[in-house]
Amino acid sequence: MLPLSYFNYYLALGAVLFAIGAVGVIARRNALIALMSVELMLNAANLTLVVFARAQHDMRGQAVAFLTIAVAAAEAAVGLAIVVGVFRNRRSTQLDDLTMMKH
Amino acid sequence: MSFDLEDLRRTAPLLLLSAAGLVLLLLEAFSRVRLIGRHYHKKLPPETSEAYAVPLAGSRTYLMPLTVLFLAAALGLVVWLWPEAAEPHYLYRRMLVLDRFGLLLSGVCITAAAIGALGAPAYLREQRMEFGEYYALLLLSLAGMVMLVSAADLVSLLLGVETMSLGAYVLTGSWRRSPRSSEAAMKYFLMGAFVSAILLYGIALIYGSTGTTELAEVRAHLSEMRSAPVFYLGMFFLLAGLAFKIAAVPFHMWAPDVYEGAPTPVTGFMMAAVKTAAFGGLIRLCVGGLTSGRVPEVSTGPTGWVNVLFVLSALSMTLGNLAALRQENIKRLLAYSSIAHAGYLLVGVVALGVVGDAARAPLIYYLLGYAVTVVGAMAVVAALAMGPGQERLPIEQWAGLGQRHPAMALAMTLFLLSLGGFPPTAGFFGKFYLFRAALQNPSLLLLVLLAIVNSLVSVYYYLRIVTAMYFRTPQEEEVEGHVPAAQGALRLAVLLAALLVLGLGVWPGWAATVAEAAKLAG
Amino acid sequence: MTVDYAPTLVALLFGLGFSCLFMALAVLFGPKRGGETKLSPFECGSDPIGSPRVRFSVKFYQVAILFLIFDIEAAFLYPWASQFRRLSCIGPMAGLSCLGTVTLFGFVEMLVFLGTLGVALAYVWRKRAIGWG
Repeated sequence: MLPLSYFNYYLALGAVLFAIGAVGVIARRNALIALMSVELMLNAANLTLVVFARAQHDMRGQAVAFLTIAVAAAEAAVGLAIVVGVFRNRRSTQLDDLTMMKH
Repeated sequence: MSFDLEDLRRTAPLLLLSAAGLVLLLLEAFSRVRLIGRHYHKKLPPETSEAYAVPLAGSRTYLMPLTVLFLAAALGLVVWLWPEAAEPHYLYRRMLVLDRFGLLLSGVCITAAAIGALGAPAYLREQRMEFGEYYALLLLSLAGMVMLVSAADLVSLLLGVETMSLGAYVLTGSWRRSPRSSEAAMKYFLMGAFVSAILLYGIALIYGSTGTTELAEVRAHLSEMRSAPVFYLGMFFLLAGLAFKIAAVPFHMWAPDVYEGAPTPVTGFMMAAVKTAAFGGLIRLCVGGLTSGRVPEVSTGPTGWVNVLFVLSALSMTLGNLAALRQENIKRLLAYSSIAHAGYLLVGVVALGVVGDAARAPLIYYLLGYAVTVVGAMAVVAALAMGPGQERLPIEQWAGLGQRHPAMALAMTLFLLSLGGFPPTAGFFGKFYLFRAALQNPSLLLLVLLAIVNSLVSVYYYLRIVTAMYFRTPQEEEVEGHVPAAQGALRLAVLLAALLVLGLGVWPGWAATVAEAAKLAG
Repeated sequence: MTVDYAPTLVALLFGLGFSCLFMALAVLFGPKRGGETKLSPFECGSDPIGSPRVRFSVKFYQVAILFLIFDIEAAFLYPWASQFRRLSCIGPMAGLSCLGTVTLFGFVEMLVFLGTLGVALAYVWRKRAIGWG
């Protein structure tokens, strides 16, 4: 088995990707970019799962990653459909324009 | 590879709901559309916007009764499995568990969905947003909830949350011509997807630090976790993910907008069923996976989940109530009230960590009472819509309803009293049992006192609606000739919810006994 | 061990041989009429030279996302296939052969999975979400 420090690089990569995705969702004002950032976060979590699975010689993490890919695809489909729905109603995908309901 | 066919039988409600969802999807796609547009066209008031004047596409009137039939069958299966579930059975290689806790919460979600579905067609037709996928999505989302409340593994927990949420996102945006509805769907989806990623990352971290994703195994490995910081980070992420789904402060930002923008029956469904299921998942996670007598600091330590939920609970009920005081829109008001109720319910989860199993039955009772109450309240809001795109949302429009729609006003009064915690309603006994159980440990005294003060504050805004209905005269005449869409089924939904709220309040004993029997596995 | 790979090699040679054969036949005997229409890009729609930031019709997105979903579901066939014998066997296994009773379980399991996908496909088809009509 490889030393754990070897895996730490991958874990750090996962954490950085996750953080980039999180910042992307919070900071970017376009719905499509936010959606892409969410996908990045999901993939970062997937990478972390797979690395842990490899480090522990356990298949479970890889099986979970498999399921996550399907979940991410379903989310992308629903998300894009919703973006199209919003765009049809108001010709914009900017999140700052979503201000109909403010008290 | 041992696979027990018994597992299929023991997940019968889940399988039935999934299959029923697929059947309804096919029926929707392949059945003939009957045009009934003109009939409703006549009722349109002249000032209605052009968008709503499109003739109605079609109606498949059998879809709703069929849905309710499926839901009744699922409920029947839950009852059928009840005796067997006295002892927990782990299913599908310990991914799911059949126990009475999961069964009872499944039953609550199914009941709430059934009451909501009964009322849906009248509302959907009136708002010209009928679409057949509504019922299929409802059932599939419900299947996700059943999976969530019977999860024995973080993976099935995640899949349950996802299945539930994907259905809910689409249902929120299902009123395609309404910009509010699609805006609500967008907000719900983006934040929900963000939180799903956080949930998944949390699962990855827990997996990395304990070497497993199975809840019981996680608990067994708490004492030998590899890296405590990684574990706690994962735990916080998981808690944040579920706190989002139950709309607890500070993860509540989406709730007012989503609950306001979603079609009213969907709002009821989300407030009742999604919240119940998410609480089920939270309890499974906290009690089933993160409470170990050998490692008490994970639950009751300074960074344990009890303290985290303690803070969330105090924030939710206080901020939720304060915001609700200022609301003029009834759906928004009930949304903030729903955030406050998440706070009360969290008192129960905190109590589960501190006083143990004694808080379980009161918590379940509260969930049941809250679910039927909000579903009923939303059915009344749906029933009192005044035409396409014109819901009776501002509270001043509720003035004088006591004379105009006495039955609906009476039912609404009952639901509001239950939300405010007056006897003899489900809400009163829910609060009473819950706070009494929490007080078994003096360290929760402060939280319970805060909850009681908050309940008293909340009475103000609930009674504001009641006084508007009975003691204020309407400012303007209603649109003449418009009959509220309250048809038989919608009235039946309101009646059922009202009977349940009253029944739970007048005879709290039987429900408390059932909740007492609903033991958690492990 | 070498014997095990012989059929693969034969299949490979057959595949290569046939594709070369048909290409050669087409070059030798096929009619050759060029023209602007035939030389213009096709199938994937857009002109290969130009700005990549053009707007696509929403139909592209619809087909793409449906493809994505079905494509990813197909990935679940691989773990299933690798465990197929084990899924269908009650009792001990010796290598790949089952020493106990062979059942239809693995097969039925996949039928249920594909049936669910089939329902989704039927729905999509019926809603005219695929195709350009």
